[in-house]
Amino acid sequence: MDHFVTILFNGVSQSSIILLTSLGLAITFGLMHVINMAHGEFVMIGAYSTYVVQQIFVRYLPESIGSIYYFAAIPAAFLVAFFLGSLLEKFVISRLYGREIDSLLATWGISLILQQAARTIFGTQGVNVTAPAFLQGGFSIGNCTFSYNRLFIILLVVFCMIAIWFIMYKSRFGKQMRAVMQNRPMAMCMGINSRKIDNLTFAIGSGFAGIAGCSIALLGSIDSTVGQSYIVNAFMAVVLGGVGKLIGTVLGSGIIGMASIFTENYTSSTIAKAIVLLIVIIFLQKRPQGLFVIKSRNLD
Amino acid sequence: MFKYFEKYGCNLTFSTIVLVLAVMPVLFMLGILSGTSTLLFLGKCIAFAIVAIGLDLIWGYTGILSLGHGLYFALGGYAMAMYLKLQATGGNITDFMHIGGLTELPTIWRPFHTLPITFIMIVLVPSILAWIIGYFIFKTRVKGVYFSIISQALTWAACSIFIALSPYTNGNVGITEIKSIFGSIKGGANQGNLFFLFYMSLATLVGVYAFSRFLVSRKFGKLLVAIRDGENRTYFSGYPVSRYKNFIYVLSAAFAGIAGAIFVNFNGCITPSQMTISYSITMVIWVAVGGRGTIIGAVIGAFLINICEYNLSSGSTVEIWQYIIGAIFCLSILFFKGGLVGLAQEKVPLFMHKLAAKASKA
Repeated sequence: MDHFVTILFNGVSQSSIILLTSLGLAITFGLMHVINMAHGEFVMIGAYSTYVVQQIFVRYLPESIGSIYYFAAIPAAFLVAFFLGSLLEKFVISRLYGREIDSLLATWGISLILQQAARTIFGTQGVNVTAPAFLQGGFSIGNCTFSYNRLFIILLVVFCMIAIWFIMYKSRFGKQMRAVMQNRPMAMCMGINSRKIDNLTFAIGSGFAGIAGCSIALLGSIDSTVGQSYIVNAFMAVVLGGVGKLIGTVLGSGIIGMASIFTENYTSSTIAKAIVLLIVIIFLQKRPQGLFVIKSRNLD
Repeated sequence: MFKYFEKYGCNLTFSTIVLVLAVMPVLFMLGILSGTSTLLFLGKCIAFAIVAIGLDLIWGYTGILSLGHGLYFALGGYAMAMYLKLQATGGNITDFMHIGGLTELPTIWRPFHTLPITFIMIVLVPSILAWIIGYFIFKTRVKGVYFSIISQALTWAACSIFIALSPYTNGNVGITEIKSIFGSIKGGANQGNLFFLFYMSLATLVGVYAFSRFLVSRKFGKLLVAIRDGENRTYFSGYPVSRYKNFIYVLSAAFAGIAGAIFVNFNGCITPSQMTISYSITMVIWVAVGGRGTIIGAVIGAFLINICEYNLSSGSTVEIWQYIIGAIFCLSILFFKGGLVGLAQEKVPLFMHKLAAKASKA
């Protein structure tokens, strides 16, 4: 029983990390049909921003309030990724709407540049972020240990989900965004500045990648390739869930995260990841469009 | 004369490249160039050109972007390397198998004792894998970016399995310390072997190029382009699109396998890093920069990018190289969809017509 609860907790934790990295993708890929291969690098940028914020706090502020750096790091990571995402949209992505495969390749070029920039600035060695004091350790019920940082990440995901839901369905901007994505010419006729909406949407998607980076910084060392290890799972989660539906992404990452932890129980972690991906691919044979399909009569 | 050039420009350019390559060993014998590293490098470029042609067939012509050709490349490479490793150990069990706890040669290594079977495996293993993947994916009409994402995930999965099975594949280190099929090619005494290997590879490249040109210049090639530009319309015209797609996908996987085998001969080792996603996308960069949709573009791209990388990615410029390749790739996608060849096809005839007009006036 204890064993099962531990696995379940690890599964939820793994799913939450995948979900956090794929939320931004769900926005850029699902809503805008832009395949952002540099998404992993935005995760990396978020992680490095956390590191920089921590270094600033260590240097300029007394140690007693040092651990609140993390609360400053989350908005900082969001803003840095948001700003860079906005720039990327303005100079590269905006020329590639409607050319999905080209957007994939162009952003891959960007990701090469960003990775090298990270190596130039921070060196090839990985850097470590020390988790703030209140996130170290954990509590246990029976024989099960729940570490605080993993619990915190789950909370962070829930917070991000609520934020995205609020932005998309409750705000004026969200209404405009959905209008543009559904019917661009008509939205433009209604006086919506679609260029601005595109830019903001992409920037928000990148910003959430930054927050994901912030949480990944708690889990291990950060180097220039940290984003690459998450990007494959994130893409699969979006595709599995069905492109264009946020609820699909939630379910998709849940399935991938849970399945990989459960199979890991029987084999090694690398084999488990491979098996899960194969299962997802086989599943996509049955439903090529993913779990949630937006019905349409469009052909080509 | 200009018309002749417009029609046969690709073949002429390719012949020039082949001639330049063929002259290289002669320059070594005359002593104009020294050190075999250049020749080893050019040999690898030949392998890269072959895999680039394969990629161009599926991406440039058929519109299937595979982000996983590194997998087939590495499979061909591993098949070759297993044979060569067995030659080096005299058919006995290798060091890393000892460390991995194996006492006798595993069954998957056994077919690689003899050269003919190895050659068959180099083509067969990637082809069969590609056929299985292609059959299932194309049957359900998964296309566009979804195919790319799935192929990328498959490559990632395969790569991690390869690393995890270290008693059989030597994990991250890969298969090292091997000679080429014609014996050692390092050092001055073995120059003959190197030249022979080089010319054999060059002949393979010519063969692959000719076969690809043959395919795309007839109705089959037109069909591939039709699939790229309007897949559903091709279905409606009564063609079994998924079968065509699968055929061309398997063919390009076979090319990648052959290329991997050639690569191993020149490189002297094979590691899982040839199997990664980023290596696979590097191959796409060659095609994109050279010019998709023309066989010659893939060849030019593979040579050009690798020659630049060879000269720039050492010493102090190693950092800059990553920026350059990223920027080149990004810019060529954004502004020159046809790559270098596309640019040339657009500009050169214009320029020539102007020249001709001037000449006739004068």
